[in-house]
Amino acid sequence: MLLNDAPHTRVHCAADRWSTLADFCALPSTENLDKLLSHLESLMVQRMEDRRAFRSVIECIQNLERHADPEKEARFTLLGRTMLGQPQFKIRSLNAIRPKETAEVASWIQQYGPLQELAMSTRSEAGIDWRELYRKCLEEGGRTPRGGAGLGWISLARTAVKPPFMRIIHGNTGPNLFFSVDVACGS
Amino acid sequence: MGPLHIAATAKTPEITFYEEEQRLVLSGRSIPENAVDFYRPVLEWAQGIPVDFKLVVQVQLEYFNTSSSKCLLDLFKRLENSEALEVQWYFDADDEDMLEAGEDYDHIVSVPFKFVEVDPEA
Repeated sequence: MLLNDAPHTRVHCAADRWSTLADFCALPSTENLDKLLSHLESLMVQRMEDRRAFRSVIECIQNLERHADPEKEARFTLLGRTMLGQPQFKIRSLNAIRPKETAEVASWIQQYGPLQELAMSTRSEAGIDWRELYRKCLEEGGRTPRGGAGLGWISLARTAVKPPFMRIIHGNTGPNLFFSVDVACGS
Repeated sequence: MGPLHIAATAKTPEITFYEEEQRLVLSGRSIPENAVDFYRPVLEWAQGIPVDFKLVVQVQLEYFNTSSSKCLLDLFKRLENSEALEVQWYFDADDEDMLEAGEDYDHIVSVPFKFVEVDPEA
């Protein structure tokens, strides 16, 4: 497992420019991802307010565990900076899509794409009521052993600086999913 | 209704039913890979609660993933028919997100919720 720490391991001491806090590249096995999660918790959670960002990290890492092709290496990167005394994080992942699941992932992106675009194009706070949407999905949405059928995405969007971004990238070795979300503590 | 005790792991909460005190306590973190499997015995246990049994459910979770959040909702819904039930939702004073999570359940289910603020420094 490749897990690199940048020199700035204390987020709150970082300057106001983005630094790579952790860079993971390995098979997305439960064992590897558990190690990554434990490492990131020690790195990120230094105050109670930091839990918000770490909750997003949990969702993103568990998405890899549930949906990434277990036979191919996945990449997870955490960037951090401090703005006006508040830590901010960029969470990025790139993983091979499981065989035969490309159509399902594409359909899923198509389902949430309009929400993503609406949120990006709306500056008004009243644009999307994420909390209401979360409650609706929690109450009415489906569930599977591998996930909450979209609840994770809405949960991330609810607390993120802007909604998560997802795109399928077709490479030489097959289709990959790029996922990105920015979160801030105490916002 | 029988005893219930599930020991905590790094990714799953401790869940204990204290029969004498009529308290069900969930504490720790709930981020299992398969929440449906993990919560199945708890939901089965809840199925056996008599409607007139006075029960306090204390939720003292630090983190829970979205699949666990659906299972918690299943638990609360299963207990909705109980006539004497209260959910005590614990949250650290600075953890606004955990308070909001409890408020979301309070909004959805018809079970009385009491919010208990905890001083993390205490």
